[in-house]
Amino acid sequence: MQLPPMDYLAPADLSEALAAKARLGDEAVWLAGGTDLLPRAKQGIAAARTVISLKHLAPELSGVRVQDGRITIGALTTLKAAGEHPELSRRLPGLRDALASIGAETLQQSVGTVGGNLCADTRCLYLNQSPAWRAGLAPCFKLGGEVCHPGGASADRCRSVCQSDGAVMLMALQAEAQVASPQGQRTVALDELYTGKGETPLALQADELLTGVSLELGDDPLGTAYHKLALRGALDYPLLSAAAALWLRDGVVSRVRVALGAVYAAPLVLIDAVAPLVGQEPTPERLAQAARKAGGHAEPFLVDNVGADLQWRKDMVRVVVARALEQAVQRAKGGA
Amino acid sequence: MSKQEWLIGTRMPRVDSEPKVRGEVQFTADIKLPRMLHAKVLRSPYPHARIKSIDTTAAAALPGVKAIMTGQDTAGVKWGVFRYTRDQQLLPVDRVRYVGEEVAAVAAVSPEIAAQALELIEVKYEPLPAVSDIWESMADGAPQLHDDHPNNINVHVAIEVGDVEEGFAKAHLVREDVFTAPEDSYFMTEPYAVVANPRPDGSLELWMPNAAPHQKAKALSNALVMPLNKVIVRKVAIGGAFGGRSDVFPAEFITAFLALKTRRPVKLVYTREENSVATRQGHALFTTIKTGVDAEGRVLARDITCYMDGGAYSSTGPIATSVPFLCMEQTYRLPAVRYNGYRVYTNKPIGGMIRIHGRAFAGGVDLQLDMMAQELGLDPLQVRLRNARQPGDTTPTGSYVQSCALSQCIQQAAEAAGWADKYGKLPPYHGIGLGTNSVQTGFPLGIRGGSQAMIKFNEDGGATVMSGVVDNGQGNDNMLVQIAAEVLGLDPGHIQLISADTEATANDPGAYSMIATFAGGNAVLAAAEDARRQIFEVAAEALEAHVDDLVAQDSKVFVAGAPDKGLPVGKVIRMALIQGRPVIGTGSFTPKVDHRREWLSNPAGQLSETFSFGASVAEVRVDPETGMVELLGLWLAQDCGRALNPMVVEGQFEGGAAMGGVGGMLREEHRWSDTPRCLNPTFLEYKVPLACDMPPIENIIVESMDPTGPFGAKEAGMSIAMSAAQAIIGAVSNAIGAPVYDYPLTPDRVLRAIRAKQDGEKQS
Ligand SMILES: Cc1cc2nc3c(=O)[nH]c(=O)nc-3n(C[C@H](O)[C@H](O)[C@H](O)COP(=O)(O)OP(=O)(O)OC[C@H]3O[C@@H](n4cnc5c(N)ncnc54)[C@H](O)[C@@H]3O)c2cc1C
Repeated sequence: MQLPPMDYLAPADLSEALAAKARLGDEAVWLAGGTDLLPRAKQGIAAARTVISLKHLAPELSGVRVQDGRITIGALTTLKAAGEHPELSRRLPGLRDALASIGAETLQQSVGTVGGNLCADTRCLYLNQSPAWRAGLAPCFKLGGEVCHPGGASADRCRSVCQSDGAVMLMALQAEAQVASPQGQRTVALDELYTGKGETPLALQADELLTGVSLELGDDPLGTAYHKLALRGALDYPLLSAAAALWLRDGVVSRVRVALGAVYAAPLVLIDAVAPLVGQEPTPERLAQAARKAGGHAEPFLVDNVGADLQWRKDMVRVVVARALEQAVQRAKGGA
Repeated sequence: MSKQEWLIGTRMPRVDSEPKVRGEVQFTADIKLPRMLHAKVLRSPYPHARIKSIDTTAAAALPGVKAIMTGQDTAGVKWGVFRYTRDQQLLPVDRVRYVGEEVAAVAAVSPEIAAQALELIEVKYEPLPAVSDIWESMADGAPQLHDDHPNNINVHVAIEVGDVEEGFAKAHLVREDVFTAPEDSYFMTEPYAVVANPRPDGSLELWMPNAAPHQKAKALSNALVMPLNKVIVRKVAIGGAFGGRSDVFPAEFITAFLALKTRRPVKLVYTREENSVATRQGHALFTTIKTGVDAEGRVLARDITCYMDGGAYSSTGPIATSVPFLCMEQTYRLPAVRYNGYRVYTNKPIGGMIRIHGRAFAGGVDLQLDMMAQELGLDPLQVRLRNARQPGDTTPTGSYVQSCALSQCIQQAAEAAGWADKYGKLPPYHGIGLGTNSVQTGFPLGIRGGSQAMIKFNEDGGATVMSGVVDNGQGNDNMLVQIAAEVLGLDPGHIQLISADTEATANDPGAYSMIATFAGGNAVLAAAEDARRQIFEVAAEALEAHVDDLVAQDSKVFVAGAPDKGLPVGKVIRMALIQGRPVIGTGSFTPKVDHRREWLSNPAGQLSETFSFGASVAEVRVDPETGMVELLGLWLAQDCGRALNPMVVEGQFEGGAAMGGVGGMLREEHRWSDTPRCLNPTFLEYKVPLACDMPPIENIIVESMDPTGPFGAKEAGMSIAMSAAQAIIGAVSNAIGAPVYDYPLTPDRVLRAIRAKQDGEKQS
């Protein structure tokens, strides 16, 4: 498949980049590693006349910094560089695992970026196809139409799915995105960055750029874990995934967040299911109880649009949540 | 062979490896010719529709567009492998039958302009009701895809040998089970592509990945109404075939037609999606297997009914519907057997021949035997050995088996895997399984069943071998060179190969049905022996020796035991030229098969001159909570007759296991929308396994030394693709303690089987 003709800009620095984007608005898209954007452009669904390459901004916007109990990752840090950062991988093995599970080492790991992963578009078995494949299908919600093909006759909105591995783990870690525009910097919680709407999954303005993502490590011992179900050992988006971040104080859970991936248009944070764990010792029974509840809570959100049996995915929510929680507890206790 | 071979049986590096590794080899899509145009194909967005009109005016007016063709230009010329299956118009005139079927094509000065032109072609369709599954399709009142096939039954293979009912009546145990699997695909590394070049002398050169250049040429000569010697299929590097390049596609017809129309070379390169949807796919299967065994597990009778989703057209239908049965009847002794195979038309892409020859057939046969063994308290290994085909047997449909080491394959694979220590002794959710299978070395193909070869010499003693055999990645080029080099005593580097070119090489059946080594190898062997005899005759006079005492080695001819007094081959060749007796060796080989045998009307008689056999063992661990399968090891054994080159044979084993087992049995399946549109035509969504998904493998080469194969060789790798898949089914079912009837063994299917077992236990 061929890339459609597009104009190409490669601004020299952040302010030039922001100015260009402000001028072109929705007509232009950011290009980081291109491993999500370019396949979509070939499929004719990237809808941009101009790409603005971020390559000259890499020195400014890449790297991992650990300072004052916070980890900050520059948006242009490659997946490999982030995952292999010694401090990050020691403190956040769950994030390391999530990033390492993306695509394959040969391409996505070495040119794909953390920012691109967070901003990667939602996916759909009927949309992520060639124009020839889609010929004869009415335009769907995401393309400005009135139908959702995977959703069927009853669907009243886009049923595309967020399959970004990094987003799920960072969501569990309650990370914040740093966003720049010609007006200045702002910080957006990932909870707010993801709209949950397949049509427009990201709450970014046309003139905004994600410059980095950061999170509070907290004072208590933290355990993180990421459990991903996929049919291949590499080059495979999740069919379902669970990320857990769990803090222990004196053997008791002081804070816990669990997020699910490949469920619907955003990472799904499970608040009620894990809330009862706080203030308790994380016994296997309690973790199992939380995982069971997670299954029930997630079920109505699960979209049948990732190429795996829906009932199996529903059944697997409990399993992946249990496994992520158990491993997070182990790690919070100092295990591997 | 009386003498010890020096090159055959060695791990000689393949003659084509180095240029491939260096990226110097040209595939069809790499070909560039002066003034070449680029073609694109417009495809149907409907599964079933009448074409009311096609307006190409706007497309034709686009600058850069040089030609457009529709069914109206080609008068609906049809293709079919057999006279009675000629049901596909190479460009449909008024009706399309699946999403992706060719409707029109454009040749333009660039691929971009051709693509743009497609958007300007206006086709008016009248959508017709479509059928997307076999039951719907066979129902009374269903939309009919082809007029002369009531209930959309495209092919019915009916075979009955022996008294099946009596066999069941005498049986100690009878079981009937149903096995199912959806479509699978080949995912050759190279997507389909064609280049056609019309030449001033009125001939047409073509390049395309193929499995039989002579067959492609013959079909095109019919379709284009051109003499066969004017339709020239050239050799080109090929990135895989796996059964999916065996017949003829609209692509070559379209490209040829556009080239003839514009009098310019035309190239058509398929996208990955087009390769998946618009060439061939493996059939979806629904198989009911009923088997009766005696108390020792010996099969007394078997009755199989199989429904195959054939898609919109016949393709190799009669063969594809027969081969699953044939592999089974070759593998196991069967006193009485009945087979009813139905290939059913649906509004889906066209079904072709593929690796496991029916996951839900081969897998079912073996799994059911395991289940019966278990019910009888027998070791499945013993049951396989009791039923295993033996040399000297005749199959139910009448093929004599001249060589067979199936029992040795079973025993050696089991021993290497530690079967005795593992079967029934592994911890829960940890299992071991065994698969056995057999494949043909060729089918009765009438006038295209034999292969001919020629060898000529240059005055420096180097030789050029000419053979119609095509190499689509498996190592056939090397096989031909290795055989010729062995016989002629030449370094392989001194042999130039011309192959798979229909202008320069004589007839050959092609590299499918596992016949290349057996027929093509034997033909080159005969040609090389003929050339060597001529060389010896000239040399004998010069050396004052007897022809029978001479040997050819290291580019020299000498009396056995006296290499120092030999003559360089180059010198002998020059002497022959002076004497007016130039050395040209010719040879041919036609397999002894029963040409009265016919797939539908007469499925009886010698099918193939010889057969290969194999057995695999798999060990797995299953995650009882997710149903995910971890493959711990594969032990692959095959009786390939003789391993001409063990390195190539092992490559075929491993490739077969990856394709049939790790991919075909654990991951790969096509998914469909309800239209039906193929939801996963690309590598990302169709789960071809990766290197990191492969388990440790142990290859076990078993050699039965076939009496008529070249140096005893038969076929390598194909039966492994099947037996590895069967072994994995056995291992997973063994691990979870319950049979899995639906394939591939994706975690949802495995988990369902675990749950079904748990529910059953709760109820009882
Ligand atoms: C074969 C294959 C397998 C894959 N497997 C996985 C997988 O398993 N898991 C997974 O999560 N992903 C997977 N991906 C997707 C992709 O590789 C990753 O998400 C990667 O991290 C994207 O980063 P990138 O830099 O290449 O993004 P790009 O493609 O450059 O950008 C992605 C999107 O984000 C926007 N964008 C990029 N950077 C910024 C920024 N700083 N601010 C605002 N917007 C921005 C772009 O405009 C674009 O819309 C796969 C891709 C392929 C092709």
